[in-house]
Amino acid sequence: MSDTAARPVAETFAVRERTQTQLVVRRFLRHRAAVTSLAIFVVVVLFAYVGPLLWKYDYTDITDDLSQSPSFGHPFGTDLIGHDTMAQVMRGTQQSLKIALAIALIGTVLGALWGAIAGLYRGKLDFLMMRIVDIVLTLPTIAVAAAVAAQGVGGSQWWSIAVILGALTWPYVSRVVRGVVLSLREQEFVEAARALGAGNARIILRHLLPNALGSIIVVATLTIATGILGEAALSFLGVGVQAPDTSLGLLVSLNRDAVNTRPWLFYFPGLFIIFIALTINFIGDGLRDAFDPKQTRVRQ
Amino acid sequence: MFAYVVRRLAAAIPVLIVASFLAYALVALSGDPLEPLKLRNPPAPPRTIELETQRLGLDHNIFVRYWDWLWGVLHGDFGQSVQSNYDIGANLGRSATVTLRLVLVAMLLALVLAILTGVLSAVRQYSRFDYATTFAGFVFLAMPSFWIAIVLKDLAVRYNRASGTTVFYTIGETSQNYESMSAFGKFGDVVGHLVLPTIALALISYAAWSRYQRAAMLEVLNSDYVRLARAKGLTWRKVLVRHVLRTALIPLVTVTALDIAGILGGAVITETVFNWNGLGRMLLNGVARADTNAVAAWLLLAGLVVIAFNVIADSLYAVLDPRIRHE
Amino acid sequence: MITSPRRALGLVAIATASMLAITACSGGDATPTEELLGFDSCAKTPLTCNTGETKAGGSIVYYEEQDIATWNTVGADGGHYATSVMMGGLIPNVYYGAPDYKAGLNSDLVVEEPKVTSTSPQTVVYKIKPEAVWSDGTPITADDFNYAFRARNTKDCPDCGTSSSSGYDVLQSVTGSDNGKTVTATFQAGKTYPDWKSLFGELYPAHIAKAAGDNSTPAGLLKSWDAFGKTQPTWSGGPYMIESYQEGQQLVEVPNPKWWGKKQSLDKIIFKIVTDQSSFVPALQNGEINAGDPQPNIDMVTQVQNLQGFNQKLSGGLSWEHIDANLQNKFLKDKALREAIFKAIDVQGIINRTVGTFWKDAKPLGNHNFIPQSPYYKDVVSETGAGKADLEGAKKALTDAGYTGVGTALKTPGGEPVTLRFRHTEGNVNRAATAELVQATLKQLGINMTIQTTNTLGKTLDSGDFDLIVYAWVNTPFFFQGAQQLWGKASDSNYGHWVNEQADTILNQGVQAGLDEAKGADLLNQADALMAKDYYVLPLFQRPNFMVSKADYLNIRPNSTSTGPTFNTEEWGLKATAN
Repeated sequence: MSDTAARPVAETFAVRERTQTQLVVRRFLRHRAAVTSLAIFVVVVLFAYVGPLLWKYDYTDITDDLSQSPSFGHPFGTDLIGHDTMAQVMRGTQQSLKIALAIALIGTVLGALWGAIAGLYRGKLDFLMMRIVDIVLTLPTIAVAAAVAAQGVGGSQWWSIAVILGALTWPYVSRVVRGVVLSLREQEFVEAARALGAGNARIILRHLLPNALGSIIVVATLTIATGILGEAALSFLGVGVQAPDTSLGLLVSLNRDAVNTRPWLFYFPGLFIIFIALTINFIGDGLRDAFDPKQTRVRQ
Repeated sequence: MFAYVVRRLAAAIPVLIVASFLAYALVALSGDPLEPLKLRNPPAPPRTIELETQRLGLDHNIFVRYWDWLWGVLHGDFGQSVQSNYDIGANLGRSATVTLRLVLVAMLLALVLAILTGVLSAVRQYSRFDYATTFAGFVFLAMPSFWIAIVLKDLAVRYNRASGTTVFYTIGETSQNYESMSAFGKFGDVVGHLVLPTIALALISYAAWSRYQRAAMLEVLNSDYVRLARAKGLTWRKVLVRHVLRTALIPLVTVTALDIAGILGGAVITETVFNWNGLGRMLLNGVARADTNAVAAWLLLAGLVVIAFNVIADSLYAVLDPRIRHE
Repeated sequence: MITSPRRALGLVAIATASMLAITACSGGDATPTEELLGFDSCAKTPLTCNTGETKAGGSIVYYEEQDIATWNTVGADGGHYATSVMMGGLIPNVYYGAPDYKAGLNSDLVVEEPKVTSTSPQTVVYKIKPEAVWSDGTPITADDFNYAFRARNTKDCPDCGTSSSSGYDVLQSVTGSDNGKTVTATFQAGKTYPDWKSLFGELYPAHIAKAAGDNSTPAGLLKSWDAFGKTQPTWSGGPYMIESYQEGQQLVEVPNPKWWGKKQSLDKIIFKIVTDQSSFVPALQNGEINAGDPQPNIDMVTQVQNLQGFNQKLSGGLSWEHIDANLQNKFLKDKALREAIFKAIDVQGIINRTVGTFWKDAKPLGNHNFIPQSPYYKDVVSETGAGKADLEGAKKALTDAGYTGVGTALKTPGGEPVTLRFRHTEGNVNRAATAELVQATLKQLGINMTIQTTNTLGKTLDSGDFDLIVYAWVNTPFFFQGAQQLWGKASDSNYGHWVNEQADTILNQGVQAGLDEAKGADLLNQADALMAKDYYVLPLFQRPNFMVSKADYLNIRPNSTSTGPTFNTEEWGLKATAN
């Protein structure tokens, strides 16, 4: 890590010679935890998407091995009706990843734009937009999910879970982004841009959002993690993805009584949730450091 | 400032009305509260179903029902629950005390721990302490709240059994013989019941908040004015407390207040796992029974708490950061 | 219950408090011996297992999954199992559901077995014990019987909502004589009510009702009826009475000093309300609860079986799972297809992967009206070949009927590909497993079956929004009425719309002949055999009940009827030798 610390002063002056992207990549690669996490995350993704092609069991297969502990034939054991838990975890990881990424995408895009607009315009518009945020923030997820599920339209499909959680997540992002923008808009470069005749759209897209990018990325990564966890919580409350499909959250909550008796059913999917959320957070951390060139080491 | 707070609170009224209507409508959409009655075997007399329909106002459309309910609330009556004996108003108050006890203690615990580790790990960035707390924080952040709760409970029961004592309790807020305990005994009983759910609830917020605190500290530590303050010869301690900490608390304040909604949500799960009879159970039962009146009442209270926290946060924001003006 | 928070959850039908087995009480009192301790002998001697000498004093914490719904267990929103169990110690009844699945006579309340003294009109005479009193000293009399009749017959008080009026609505009068200690219940002319033992299963005190509202007017009755629902009872007509209640947390009961029967042992019975089923085992291990009858699953049962110092017993319950075909579906209205599907389904295989994993006695159910514990149980399903995993027979049925693509991609004789939709309730593990297993089976016949969950079972059934569906009925031992409600052609609960005139006629004959129970039951079985042959509803298995109690407590016994284990709280007590 000492190379990060002793970053030569000269490098600061070399900025203009490299593109922003190159810089970010270079700095990211120096973040050891983030790079390791990225590698692990790629492995998890491969496990989820390529694994099923190679593994002998499909998640719908019903074998004659009931509630078996992990063995060579079933590395993650089997459940009550004979599903191979590894195949189930693969499928569950797929579904949970899709849900989490969709939540983060919906939540971040909507939230960042909403927050930036509100923060920039301020005044009545801001007030109105933030009250809408307040309304959405107060709605209980379980009530929304139950209402959607009862309609039978896409109920308990992965995308309907993603849309529900995404639609309830963006207010968090928008509040954070608004806070950052409120602070940024007071700064000199925004005044300068305004003085140069830049319009609001240009200020938002060219100045505010890029400068808030660090914060947005931190929030977005946290959102992926909370997305994974939100899906798990919904499953716990019984309104998440439904059998015969599966998700990591569903697997863990279905087997919460098994923690002492058939621990493999509770811990394997649980560990995957933790793996995914953990690596994504580290990746986000690395990205934040990479995007934020101001960050150097201070006082030992 | 005062005018701002008043304005925000005034604005909270339409927010709560719209939100409670949405919740009301969502619950109404989620099912028929009389389903258990209609499916009873032997069947309930048709007249009974008719009576229940009238009692709950199900023969009116959703707008009329909501309006009647709202009118009642303004007169101190939260309306009929699907479960006829359930007094929504009384339960709202009782559940709130139960849940807020859990939530506030957990928040306090999380906040203190978060500021401490956040500051320390920023000041000693890339130290072993920083790595350890960062990693631990990330792990907590990555665990589903019910997962933590279940594992904690499992560990606590194992501990109790191994030690032959009952230090930790796993169900409810107090023991059955709470009323007959001495003051000291009552305190111990409350703490024994509070420990596990509080930790389960606090861990997740702690993890997120310590990350925010660390990031904010680093941002300020690297800012020009801190360098300037240092250059001017101010002591490190003075800079840290007066300039860095004060500035770096701003994002945490926002995040904390903003998280109250999330924490109340987390409390739903924690309460479920530890069988607390608080707002969480009120909400879950309300949704499960398609009890529009109960859920809308729940929302009024939860919404009020969330909005109050947000107003406090925004006001503190202005106090802490003079650059933010609330005109 | 929280894991699947949808209302009504697994059970379509919610058993009412008054549900109990119809057959006459029997079972002699065995001499209590040491071997009888524990639940091991409960299968053989359900009425006397775990019997022993108790000492005075002590308390028990009993686990309940749901809160008190209403204090009026038979009010409009009454009929909840948990409420009935908790109130079992204070509401007197004539008959209760006994551990042997039969109607147990409450010999504390009545002097002798009530008699049907006339069949035209049907008349029943009850003789109340002279010493039977409410906790305030007022005698229990015909007035209390009369109050139940008037409040629940839907005529004397049309607005008194009740969970069930059946029986009361065909009564003509309930009168008292002999100082009110003899009750004569007379039915309406021409009406036969074979399930008469279900009557007067929950008696509320008429004198307290009178104080709340005039019993002679509908308005007065309504007032008192509602008051019973809203007011925490300070009265009792049983061994225990309520000391305190904290909503959503616990109900504490103490001995009723005016109880005239066997002296109570326990000083306190605490019902702890624990809504999260997963908490049962940890709380039991942690000593926070002592006994309970939760809904079992494999992990709960495995862990409890490994605990030291607890009695535990799995036994068949009253609810049973089944797969229904919707006869209004264009494919399923063809009997040949139903026959093939039912024959192909492997019921034993489904059991082996669901309840059979923890309940060794689980076996395929062969009747739609009786559980195997009933003397009238007769397997009418096996002979039809349904549920036997008979793929060859299934394929033959299809081929004979002109279906093509058997075993690959099934098409009707008209050339239309067969696709079906199977519904089950969200979050129910056993039903999800059933669905997947049926899906795999039907695939072998060439049928493409999709699975779709529902979180509004009632709506799904009512609107016929299913092709095949799995759910449960509570096998009400009032089989006459139950049979008519579920399988009668005019019934709203006949969701798959099976109509068979011949079966309907026999069914009605059975009900008419019902006062001779054996004869009526035989007719019901004949009608059921017709239904089974038509492959309409495939019974799967009886769901198990689970009873757990710390071994220190004696005379507490598993009771799978809707009365639950609290039928004999006065006998519960700590082992005399325990310290």
